[in-house]
Amino acid sequence: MDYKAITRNRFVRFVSARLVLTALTAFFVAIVVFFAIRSIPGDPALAVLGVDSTLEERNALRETMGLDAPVAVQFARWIGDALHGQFGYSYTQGRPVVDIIGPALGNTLLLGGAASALAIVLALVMGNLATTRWRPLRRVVDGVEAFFLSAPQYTVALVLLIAFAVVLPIFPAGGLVTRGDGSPADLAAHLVLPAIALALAPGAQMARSLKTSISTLQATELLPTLRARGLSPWRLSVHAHHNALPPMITVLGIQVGSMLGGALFVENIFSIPGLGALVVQSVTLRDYTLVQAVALLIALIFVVVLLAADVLNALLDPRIRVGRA
Amino acid sequence: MTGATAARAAVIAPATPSARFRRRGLITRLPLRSRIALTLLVLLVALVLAAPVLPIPSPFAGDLGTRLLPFLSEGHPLGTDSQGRDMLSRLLFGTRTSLIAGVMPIVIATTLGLVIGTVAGLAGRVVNTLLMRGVDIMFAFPGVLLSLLLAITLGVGLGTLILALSLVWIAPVARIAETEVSRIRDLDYVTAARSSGAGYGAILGRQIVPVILPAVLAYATSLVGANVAIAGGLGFIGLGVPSPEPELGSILQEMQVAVFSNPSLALAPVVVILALSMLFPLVGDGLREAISGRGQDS
Amino acid sequence: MPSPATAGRLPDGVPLVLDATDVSVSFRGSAARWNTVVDSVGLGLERSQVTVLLGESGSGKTVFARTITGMAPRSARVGGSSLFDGVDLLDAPARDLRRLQGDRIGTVPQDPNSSLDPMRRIGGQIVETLLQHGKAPHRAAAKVRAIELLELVHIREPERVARCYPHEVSGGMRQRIAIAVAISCEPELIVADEPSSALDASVGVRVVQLLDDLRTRLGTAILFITHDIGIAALIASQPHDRVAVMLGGRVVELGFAHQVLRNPVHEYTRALIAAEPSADVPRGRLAVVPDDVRTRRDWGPLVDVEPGHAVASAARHEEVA
Repeated sequence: MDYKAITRNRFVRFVSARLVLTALTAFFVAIVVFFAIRSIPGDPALAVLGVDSTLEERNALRETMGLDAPVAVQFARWIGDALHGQFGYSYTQGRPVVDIIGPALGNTLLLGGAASALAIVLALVMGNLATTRWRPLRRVVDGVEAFFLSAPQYTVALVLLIAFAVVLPIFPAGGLVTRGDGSPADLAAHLVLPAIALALAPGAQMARSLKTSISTLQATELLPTLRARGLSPWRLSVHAHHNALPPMITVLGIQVGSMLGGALFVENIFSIPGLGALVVQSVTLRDYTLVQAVALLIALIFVVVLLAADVLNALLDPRIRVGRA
Repeated sequence: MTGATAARAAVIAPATPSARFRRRGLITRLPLRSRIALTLLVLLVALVLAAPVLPIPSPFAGDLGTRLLPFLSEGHPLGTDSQGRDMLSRLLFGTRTSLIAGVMPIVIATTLGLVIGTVAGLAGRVVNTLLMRGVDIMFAFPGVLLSLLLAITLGVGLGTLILALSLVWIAPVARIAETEVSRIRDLDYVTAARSSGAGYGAILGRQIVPVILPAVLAYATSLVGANVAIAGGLGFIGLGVPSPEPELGSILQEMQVAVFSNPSLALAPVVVILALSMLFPLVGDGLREAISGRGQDS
Repeated sequence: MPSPATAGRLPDGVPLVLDATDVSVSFRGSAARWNTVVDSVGLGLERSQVTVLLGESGSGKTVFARTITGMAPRSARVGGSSLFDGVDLLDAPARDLRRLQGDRIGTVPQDPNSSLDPMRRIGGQIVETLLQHGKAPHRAAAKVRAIELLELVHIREPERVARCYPHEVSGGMRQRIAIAVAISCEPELIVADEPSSALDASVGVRVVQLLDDLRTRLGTAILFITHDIGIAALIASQPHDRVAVMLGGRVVELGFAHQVLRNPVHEYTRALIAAEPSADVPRGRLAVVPDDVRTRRDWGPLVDVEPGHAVASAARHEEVA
């Protein structure tokens, strides 16, 4: 009996099931985004051409925009185009949407990546500290954790901006790079404050998850048993963390969504040209093609990250592949 | 009372102590930090409700000659905003708006979520899976994004803001309700009630709802904090209540211009939003601890 | 005057694998009072010998066994000495203890569900222990040895099982794998803490028989903890096997298995054995251990009643009102 093949099969089956769910969710998201934008009152052609345009001009533009076709057809066309990488044309910026989204996506991913890394470090530190034997330290960590969890990201961002860029001008107050200096150090300096602002809540949430799994682990006999095998402290720590990490990974996946939402505000406050700033911009300017594409992209990123977290979880924890024990 | 009805009454009476929701006992069991938070909240709400009769200038009266005055200026203890309006007054009335936008959606979402969750929890596997998968997909959607989209679609204004936010929070409440109902559905006293012939209505009313209500309400209280934060966020990017109506988020937006010149002015609305976002979860978590009778300390 | 460790035993010059003397363990309870869980207990363990630690839960047997192998809980206050090859395990630095544990002292835990790391394959866990203690020159050799060990504990298809994860095999198999890990470095002493309690009766019996068989083949000393008299009788199959009855943190009876189990002297032991359900006892006549016997804490020191058999004297001190 080739057991290895069977295990691989279970994993494959797990991943496929998740993929299907992801695709369904993505489809649902696309529908919501599309119809939400479509139902905004007002005439996009009017918004673009202005009040002193003629009816013919507006009709002509509507035809170019494809707004004359029935809604279902518009949706199908949009999906079809999107799958080919065509996201339409932004009428307020005069460029294809892909050209606008590309760099913005890169910046947001950079910020998100930095924030995620920070969040993981924060979670590991706080999670381990929270299980210490020294009671006062535990209380302090719990309090800090509660604070991080409930403080809204935009308020934290503002406070950080004021504290460390205005009052104490340690970090730059905005933007992604200083003019003329594109070095990694400069980039990092610009990313520090916004990344911290984004990382606090997810970090605290992950710390909580880690704390719970460590406690659960300590309630079993596993750790004393492993110690009785005479394993070195390093190996014991690896075992313990391996057991405690999988739930935290799932939390990280969910928290990416919260980070994406928070990026909306943080990018605005720190003037970082990312997807969040783009959303705000396009909403204010009523550029529907842009809003649509960006909203879809953000939601898709989130869904894909969730899938990745689930898959990573299944890789780490062999019990998950079998389903509920 | 005949033997049969006595037996039935005895079986229907809730067996777990947590079902007896004695409010007086509950408040005294709250941990200290939750009691402090609750007191502060009550004070804040009282202050906000009393705002119209307090001797403060109108939040709409702005004098461009007195823009961006710092703290402790003459007649303006918290300074003025970018249009010369008194900050203290703006904050008080803005908090009122934010509280409405914060609490109302949770009330709506809790009611709907409770219904959905309870139905899903009691129903058969098929209905349960259908409902909860739908809830999961909704849950997967980033809350901020969803409320953003809804706010755009429905247009600006307090009513549509409340509606948009309500939809966002139905999913978490439904999840909690379903978990709780599933947990107690198979407990002995419910099964006993079912087998003694009690109708679904009686079971629902006497056994299930009173038991899950405290936990759901405690959770909902914490959600108010997060909702206030999101409402403020929407106001921050201009999708909240339209100006000149004061709202904490839009006030924050307006004060961004003061960040470099007079940062303390910008901090005033920050402090209020922070306070609201943190006080509600403190109370909610405390309620949860008091109900379950277990501490958080590991 | 014979020490508690040698009381009840004929001095025959056999070297002891582990010599525990006057071991006491206390924990801090509420209101800063120290609760004594193990009270001046001594025990000597020989090669190829099974020593059964018999008692109900709360008697302190697990704490005692863990303590004398150097694994006392960190919050405990420990007194006495436990000599293993000249090293006092109650006093040794952590690094030395780590070298001994898993290598020359093996442990079989009680719960088959948490005795193996659920995240790693079974074979890998045995290999890890072998490599940690330098019992194999490299990974490949360790893998071969791991398969041999699985065969030793009567696991069929050892190659397949080695590639499995713990949750993919049955509880009985997990327990046998735990035994394989415990004997992997050919220890001189194995502590088996109720290895059969969490298993079905028939599966448990086979696990116990396996341990019995292993001690004969490998010459290991076994400290076997149980509350079940039937299991105690099963494992203590050789004439030189010993039984120590623990109650409330003290040893109240100590002797060869056939002495203690067939001619119990102490009232607690007698009550335990009488309470053991068997087909001979008519219905409604099941004896129970009387509460006053079970909760007494002031038993006296061990006193010989016959060669090799000692009992705690029932000397009562002044009556407490």
